[in-house]
Amino acid sequence: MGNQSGEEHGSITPYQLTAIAVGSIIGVGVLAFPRLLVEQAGTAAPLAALLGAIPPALSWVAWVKVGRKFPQQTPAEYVTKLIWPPLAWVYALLGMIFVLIITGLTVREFGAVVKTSVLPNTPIEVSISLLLLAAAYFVRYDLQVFARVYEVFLPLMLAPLTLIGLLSLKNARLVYLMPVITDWLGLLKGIAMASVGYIAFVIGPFLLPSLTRPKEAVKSGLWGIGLSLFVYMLAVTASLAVFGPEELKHVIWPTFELVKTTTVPGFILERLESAFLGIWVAAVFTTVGGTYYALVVTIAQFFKLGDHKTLVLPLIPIIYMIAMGPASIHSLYRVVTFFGLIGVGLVQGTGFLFLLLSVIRKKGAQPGATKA
Amino acid sequence: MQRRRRVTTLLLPLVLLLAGCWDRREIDERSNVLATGADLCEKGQGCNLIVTRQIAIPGRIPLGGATGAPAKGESVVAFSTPGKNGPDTARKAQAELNRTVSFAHTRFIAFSEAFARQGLREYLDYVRRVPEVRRLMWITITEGKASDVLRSKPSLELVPALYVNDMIDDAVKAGRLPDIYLGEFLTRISNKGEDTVAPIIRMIGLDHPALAGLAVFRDFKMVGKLTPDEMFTQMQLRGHRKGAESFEVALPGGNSANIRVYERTARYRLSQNQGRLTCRIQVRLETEVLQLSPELSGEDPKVLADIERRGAEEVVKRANALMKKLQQEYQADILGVGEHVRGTMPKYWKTVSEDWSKAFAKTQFQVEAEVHIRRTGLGTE
Repeated sequence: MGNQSGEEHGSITPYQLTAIAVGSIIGVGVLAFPRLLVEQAGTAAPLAALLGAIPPALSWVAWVKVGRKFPQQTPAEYVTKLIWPPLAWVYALLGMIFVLIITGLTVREFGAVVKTSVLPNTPIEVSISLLLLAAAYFVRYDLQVFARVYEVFLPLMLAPLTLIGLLSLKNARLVYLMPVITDWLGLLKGIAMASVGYIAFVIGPFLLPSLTRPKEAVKSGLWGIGLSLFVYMLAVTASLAVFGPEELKHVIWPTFELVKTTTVPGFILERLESAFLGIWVAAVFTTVGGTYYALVVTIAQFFKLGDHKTLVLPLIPIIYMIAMGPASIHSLYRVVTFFGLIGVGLVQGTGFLFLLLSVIRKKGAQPGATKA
Repeated sequence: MQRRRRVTTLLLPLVLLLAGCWDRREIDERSNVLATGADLCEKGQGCNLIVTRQIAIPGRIPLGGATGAPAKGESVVAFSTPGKNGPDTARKAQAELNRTVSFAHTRFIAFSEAFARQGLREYLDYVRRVPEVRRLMWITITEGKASDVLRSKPSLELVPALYVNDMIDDAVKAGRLPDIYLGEFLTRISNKGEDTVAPIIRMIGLDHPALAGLAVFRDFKMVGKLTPDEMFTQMQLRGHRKGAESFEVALPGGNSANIRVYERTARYRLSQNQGRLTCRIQVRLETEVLQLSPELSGEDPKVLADIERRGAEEVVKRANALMKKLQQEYQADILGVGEHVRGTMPKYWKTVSEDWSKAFAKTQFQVEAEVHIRRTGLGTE
């Protein structure tokens, strides 16, 4: 039960792992996701979204396999065993900087949406700071508290999102979803874009040693990716079917616009956008919390610091500065796309790399031994 | 301990100062624009357009149904502002008003025909960018000046903007008008294989706006009009499900029947032969009899079959006339045939997508219709 120093040996149930996956994956990105995909893949966007879940899913399987070889350790701890230590240092530092940057960018994207669509008079600095402070407060807790927050949020997030998604299909037109494939290059770019949507699940591999039932790690992680895929698919398909491939490119946050054009006559809330925004803020919060947590835990474990909590506060100004970095909303999206694509390599590719290294260099416990 | 508690007690109220909201704004602290209309400027006035905005007078708009006596006096004021473009007129209007202008409650936007014929690209770019503007508001074209519609005071409704809004709302729900709100209008304009339409409003007298068919657009420019009958034909060809129109079918012997359409479906079959596109449209209408000539019996299956056959011929005749107008006169694909081509024949689409209007004009259309009479009303014989 207690938090052993240095290692986060809480106990995370399979359901909690699924919830953490969904909570950290679904976040700010949901709003722009359909546009980013349609810009690349056209009407093939739903297919791209579907196939885009394959790299993160395979990568998760690889991570779990590597994790089985080091059942008591997280990637930050076994990276030096797999890679020549000086190189491992560089690798780990790059990873930390990357997670730091995506945390900052997530916060900024949140600020941009709030400033543009909801609270035009509230300074963006204020909404960004509040989100950061809330996330910092949350990240200071132990792993068990962390996991329980996601556990509570999962149904609160999924149920309304599904409902809103289905309701918005009222104005859908089937012909907008055709042809399923336009051009192959565009589809490939779309798939790459779609797998960017899953990089926020960096926390995943760090939770492996803390699972109550390690054997179900693959299954519950894939459930998390699958449920996130469901949300993404719903957002992309509904937005495309309502706006069509051309108009969708003119709408900066199609998912939000979709919700705004959906009305439910006779429902208590005829306009769904306030309900949607509430859920969305929670979703952003869990995403930022996830990457923030991954960041502090990585640093604490890699440098063998006793406790991750002390790192939380000093990082706030750094994340804040990164968030305030991009000059405009368009430079923000350029930066997000750039780092997103790097992230696919860094977060998902590393899983395969580590698996390969552990097999070649015969590091960690051998498969036969793990069953004991 | 005692001292600390006292200090805390003193400091605690300060927390109240931390509470704040930059965006708190009561609904009656804003100048709510209920409707907007754009007209072209007359020559020599030194402006490009005149935008008229109908603004709600706080406290004069009855909230929550018809309870309580309506407040006396006007509920809205209309301001006309000349200017260079949309944002320019908004700036000028703001300077003349005591409170911040808000578009969050705008119900419709009207463009005069002359304005729409010049093109709406620039103005709609402005509309699309303003976050307060809801994509669910209506877009209309006025036969005369848009300001006439905005300044009219229909006696049936307390708030003039709501009269127009409800009129369109109701017509759409009843199937008397295609469901083209601002968002749908923009979507259809953006679609490469589709052109859009918008309802036309005509003034009857000074204070009575009424629906009068559809304006046809090619890209962002209005290019023509459809009469209400042509509008119904267009809705039949697009397969707008809920029907409302009725028409007369001439029968042999000087007899006639009036039938009312209550449901429409349309299926598209596309094929191409050596670059020439053929589009078969199968229209199917579910109808009921409204009136029969005295010599005819609604119980006679032969009579009904005859009405169905001749009714279908009538539908095809009207459809062909409309297609001719759309292809030759307007070159505007308001049926969205191009979207079907894009969806189902991607290879062929690549050859025509650059100039779909021309390809549409050359497309061969075969309209087939089926009319089914399901009911004959309460009267017999």
